[in-house]
Amino acid sequence: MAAVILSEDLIELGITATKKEDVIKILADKLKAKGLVKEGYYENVVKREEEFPTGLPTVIPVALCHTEAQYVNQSAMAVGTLAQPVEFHEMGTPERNIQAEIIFLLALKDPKDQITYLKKMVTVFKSKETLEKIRDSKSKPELVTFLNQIF
Amino acid sequence: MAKRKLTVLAVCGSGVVSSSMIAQKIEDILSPLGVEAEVIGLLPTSVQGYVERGGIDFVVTTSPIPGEINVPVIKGVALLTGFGEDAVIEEIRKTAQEIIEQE
Repeated sequence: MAAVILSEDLIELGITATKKEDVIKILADKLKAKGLVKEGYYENVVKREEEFPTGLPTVIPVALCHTEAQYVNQSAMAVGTLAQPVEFHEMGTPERNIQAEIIFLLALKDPKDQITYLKKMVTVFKSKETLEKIRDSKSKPELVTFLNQIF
Repeated sequence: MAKRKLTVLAVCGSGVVSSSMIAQKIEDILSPLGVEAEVIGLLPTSVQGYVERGGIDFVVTTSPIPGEINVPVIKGVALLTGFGEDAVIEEIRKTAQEIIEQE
């Protein structure tokens, strides 16, 4: 199974942006800077988020933003925590909103090859303790170590 | 109960990301019933045509699906969040059992 890159330079803690597009931009720029995604990745994540929202009403609400593999060079995940919650529409029920506290921005080259990874993400979503630890993290190296232990 | 194979569509906006997340859950739910599940990931817009061609037992989705779908459609976001998950698991179990018993 191909690895999903998750490193310190793909993490932003305490993002102060208040619009989901701006939050996604901050994280997408990190993927772009490392050459992990192609031109158009950010625009398509935002477009897809409008069409198929990814906000999840988990115990600590999160968003699981992503787009098609064609915009991805190498599988990676950027993670952002927010200074204050940012509104996302809810997956499956777009007329409802959630106040996301953590943003996972996925860039998957071949999601079918990443099923184990995706399954572990579900474990994270369901664990209050894990989500709290991510949300309250004050150190990028610590968060990377913590996340790489999970995945 | 005889060993039976059910074909299930797992549907999400990308056709792969959250549908892959729920696919494993569906297999885990059906396996104790003696049911083998073939789970196919699909985009919402492809569901109607796919179901009309036949052979699909039911659908679990994290996205609204356009059109008329003539097999059971179960909302599956709770399988990702854990909230209301038990009710969804029960709905999947019941739906599978009803399909098997009809045969």
